[in-house]
Amino acid sequence: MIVFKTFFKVLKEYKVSLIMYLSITIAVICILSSVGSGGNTAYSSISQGLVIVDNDRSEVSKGLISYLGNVNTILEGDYTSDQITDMLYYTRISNYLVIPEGFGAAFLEGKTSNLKVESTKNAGARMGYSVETEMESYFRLTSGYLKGGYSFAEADSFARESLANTDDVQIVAENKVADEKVFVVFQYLPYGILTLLLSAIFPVLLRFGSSLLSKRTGISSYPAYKKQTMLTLASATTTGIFTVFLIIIASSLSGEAFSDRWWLIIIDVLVLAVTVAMTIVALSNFRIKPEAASGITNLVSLSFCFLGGIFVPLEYIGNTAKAIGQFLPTYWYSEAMQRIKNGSGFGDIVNCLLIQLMFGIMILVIGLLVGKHNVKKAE
Amino acid sequence: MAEKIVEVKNLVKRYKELIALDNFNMEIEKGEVFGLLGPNGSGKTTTINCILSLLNYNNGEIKVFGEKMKNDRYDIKKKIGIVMQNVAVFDELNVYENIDYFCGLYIQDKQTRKQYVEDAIKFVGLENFTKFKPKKLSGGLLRRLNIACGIAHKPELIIMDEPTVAVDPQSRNKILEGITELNKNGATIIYTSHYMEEVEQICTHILIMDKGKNVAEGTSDELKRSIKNTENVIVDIKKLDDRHVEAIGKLNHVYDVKYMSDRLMIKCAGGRHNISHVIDYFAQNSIDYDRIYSELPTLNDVFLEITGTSLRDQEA
Amino acid sequence: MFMNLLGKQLKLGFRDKSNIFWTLMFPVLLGTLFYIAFGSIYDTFLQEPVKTAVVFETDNPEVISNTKSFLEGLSLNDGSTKLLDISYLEYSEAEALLKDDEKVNGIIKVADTGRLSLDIYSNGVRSTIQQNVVTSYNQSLELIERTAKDHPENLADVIAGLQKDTSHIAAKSLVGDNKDPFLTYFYSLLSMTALFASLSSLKIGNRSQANMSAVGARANVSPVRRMMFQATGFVSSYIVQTVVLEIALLYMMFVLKINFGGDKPLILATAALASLVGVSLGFFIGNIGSFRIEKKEGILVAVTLVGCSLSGLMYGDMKAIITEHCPIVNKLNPAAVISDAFYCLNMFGPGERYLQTVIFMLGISSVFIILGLVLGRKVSYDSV
Repeated sequence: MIVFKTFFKVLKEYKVSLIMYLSITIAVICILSSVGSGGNTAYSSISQGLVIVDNDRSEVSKGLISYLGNVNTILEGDYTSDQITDMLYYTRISNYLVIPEGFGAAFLEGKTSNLKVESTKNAGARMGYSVETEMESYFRLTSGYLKGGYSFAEADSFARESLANTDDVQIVAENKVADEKVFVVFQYLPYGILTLLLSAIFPVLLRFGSSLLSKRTGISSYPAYKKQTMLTLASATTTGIFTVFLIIIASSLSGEAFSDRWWLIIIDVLVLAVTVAMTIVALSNFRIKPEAASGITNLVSLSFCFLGGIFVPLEYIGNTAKAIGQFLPTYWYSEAMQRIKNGSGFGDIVNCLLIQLMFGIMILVIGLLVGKHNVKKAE
Repeated sequence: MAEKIVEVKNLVKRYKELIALDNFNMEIEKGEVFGLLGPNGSGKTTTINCILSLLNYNNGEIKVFGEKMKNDRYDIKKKIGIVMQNVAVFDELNVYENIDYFCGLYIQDKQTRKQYVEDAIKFVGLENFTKFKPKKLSGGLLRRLNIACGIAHKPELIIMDEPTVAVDPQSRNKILEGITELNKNGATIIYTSHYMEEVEQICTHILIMDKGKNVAEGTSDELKRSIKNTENVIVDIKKLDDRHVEAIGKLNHVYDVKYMSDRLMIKCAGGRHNISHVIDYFAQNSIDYDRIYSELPTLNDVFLEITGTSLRDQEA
Repeated sequence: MFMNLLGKQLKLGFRDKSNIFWTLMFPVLLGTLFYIAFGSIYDTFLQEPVKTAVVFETDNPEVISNTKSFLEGLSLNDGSTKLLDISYLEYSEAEALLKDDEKVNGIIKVADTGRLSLDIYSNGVRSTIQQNVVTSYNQSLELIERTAKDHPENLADVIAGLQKDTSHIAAKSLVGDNKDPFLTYFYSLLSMTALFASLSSLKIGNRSQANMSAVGARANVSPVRRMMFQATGFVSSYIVQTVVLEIALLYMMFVLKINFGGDKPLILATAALASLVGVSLGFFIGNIGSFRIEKKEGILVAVTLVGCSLSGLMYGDMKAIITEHCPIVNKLNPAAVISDAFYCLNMFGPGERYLQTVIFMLGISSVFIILGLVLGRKVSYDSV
């Protein structure tokens, strides 16, 4: 029991970094969940932010703006050109549109070769193209209907009717409408799990394992297996407490708990936590100086999160990175989350869970072998 | 009258409730090896830190080389060398570089410094370790490096704060010899320790402090003479009844008797033939004993008697 | 004296292996990681056609050939890149591939009437593109059918109009050199490296204050002024950390070939300024109070990580979100200002906005240095 208790006494020394990582995690989750569902996965056509300057104020320009407003979010307000550049760069808006004076009249006459809507977009983000496509579709249809002999009002309404028809698109996954908040929040949770467990358990285990201290306990009458058991028990307790704490925070922020998919998510979280704990125990067997713990915490948590699709959706990550990521538990955590989001049941995510655990067990075995080797060498 | 190197008058230092120095007085003359002796927590290091202007003090006056010591008296600091209780070296630098660094804080001229650093290395006997980083050195060698860093600039006043803590006898002897040599070369030395034999061996003047006070001072002999104890008679004896112990305690000049672990310790104050009185008593009572001998009091006895007394005084 | 002490301090700085290891390995390892993760995204976005399965639910040869020529004719970047990567399959095959997101992003079904419909597994950028293709095709179909019914005399005009492909949009691209939004992650990484430089300058205070270390006590009893220790420590720490940061930056620029945009010497100069912010921060914290250096390190790691998470190290859009909701945070967060300096240099060149970030970096550094000097002025101590 003395080892168990001492574990937590030593742990208390690291409260500064624990509080720090906890607040970073909570802050990031809070900001993300308050910003709302990420634009990448919303139902139906993706809504883009737009800034439109209407110098024309004609029937046509109003029709266009009202059409674009149905699908996208038009940001009101005067922006400086620097602000526009910022918003485009960070993909807060996809396009900055300027409708020139006289555009409507020219459009109705079918002569727009010199007078066009100026669209500024970030060439790096494809969203800008899709808004331009939407506009072109609208112009193509309204001008088509105008040519067909309809009035602009008729043309506008037919075009919109056509454009609004999304029956042609079907999502074949079972769970079609997903409330995103719970996924946004839990998607980022692994960063919290990694940093909290690493900054709590890792340095403490390293302290216990440091050559002088382990020599001193080694020669004591306290059996080695008992010490090991107590340390494992203490690590498990710490893992449990922190994970449950994070789950409570994440659930209350997302406003969802005890639904079917919530349980699936929790299973995913718990499996990841156990895997991370095993990884930490494994790492503590490598001869690492306790001073290096904070650096390793940063390196491991950031790289696991980037390569595992925690910070950036797997969709955006390059193929090489994905190939590396597949060897990390966080990748399979994200994969399981993706499947849960698509409406999969436990049967569909069990692979992902098993792969995570496999990773943990494998690295634990390696760690213990290295530890044994080190002990032998010391003898 | 010899030149006064350090003068401390009515020094008071408080740490909140605790009084670390209580109207402490001390004078050190040129050429002395001045021993500052006291139990742990008696205020030795605090005194030194005050002399060096590292610490603020509540009251009193400190003069070094006849002038009031202040933190910005760089001219005075230049003439002082300090060997700290804690080893103060850079782990990143090797032995030579460490000494060179600290010597460089005092000696600008490169040529002179090179000579001084080499002298210091020879002085502490680290010639074979100049390229070693501190982490590779044993405890004793590390202490010697710590000393070299403190004295390389050939200071006139050297303050050594327990330089031999945790040092093997070989290194310790080397250090003690070195201190004597430094003193011969003209340096005044303040030496703190709680190893009595060391202080007795090298110090020309000893000050005993306890609870932040100067409780006694003088040469080793003067101090020994100042206490009640003049002679200790020791008898190795297997078995002795309590009544005999009591009776021996009543012999002339005997003021304290202890019998433990087959050894009888008899403390005497004054008298010339104390040992024969004891032998007579054993003969009269037909008591067998193994060995009997007499010792003069050591500094240890002085120390125990003085600090013990003052402790009792405080309790009363 | 200055040069002698500076030389020794530099020696100490360059030999502090664990510090150099971490400040160098962090950007190099994470930079490589970012490069693997995002390096190719920008290109992929522009060049990789969307994988699409096409299933014909009709035998009408006219419909089949019309849709084939329409779908295959779609292109991006003025015809240089195909929009869709099409494979013609049976529905069952296509459905199997769809569930495995990598192989196919959507299934376009062609009905007997000529109408297209799309099956996707989940929404995303790629399915939106397919969706646009399908709906615009169906819309044209509707237009032709409706006109044929109401105004058959105009049908020829309408079809000619549809085929003429008139554009009503003048497309302009965003200014700036490299518009890759994932560059934000590299900016944040550089901020983090620059701020981690503070862990080295933290030791300056520690080494010159008697109540913080034994070496500090020794320095205090020497005839060298505190100011001299502080100054040489600061300069040497700055030199070491700038060298480290520049090496990391050069690695990103020339080995990973990350295009930071803008003038290369100016980018390097910006990094040197960023490292000044980090070193001054550490100098300031190092001179506060007498609590343990480990605690101070904890504070610095916290300042750096919290700052970098707010400037977008973990979530790229974070800085933009904060700019929108609480811009003052970005103005005061050193990590955000450093990353903003690189960003401005890339997007706007060395203009007014860049100058503002430079002034801020110089300002915040001077504040830290002055505070550090004032706090570090303390001449003697109540306890050592």
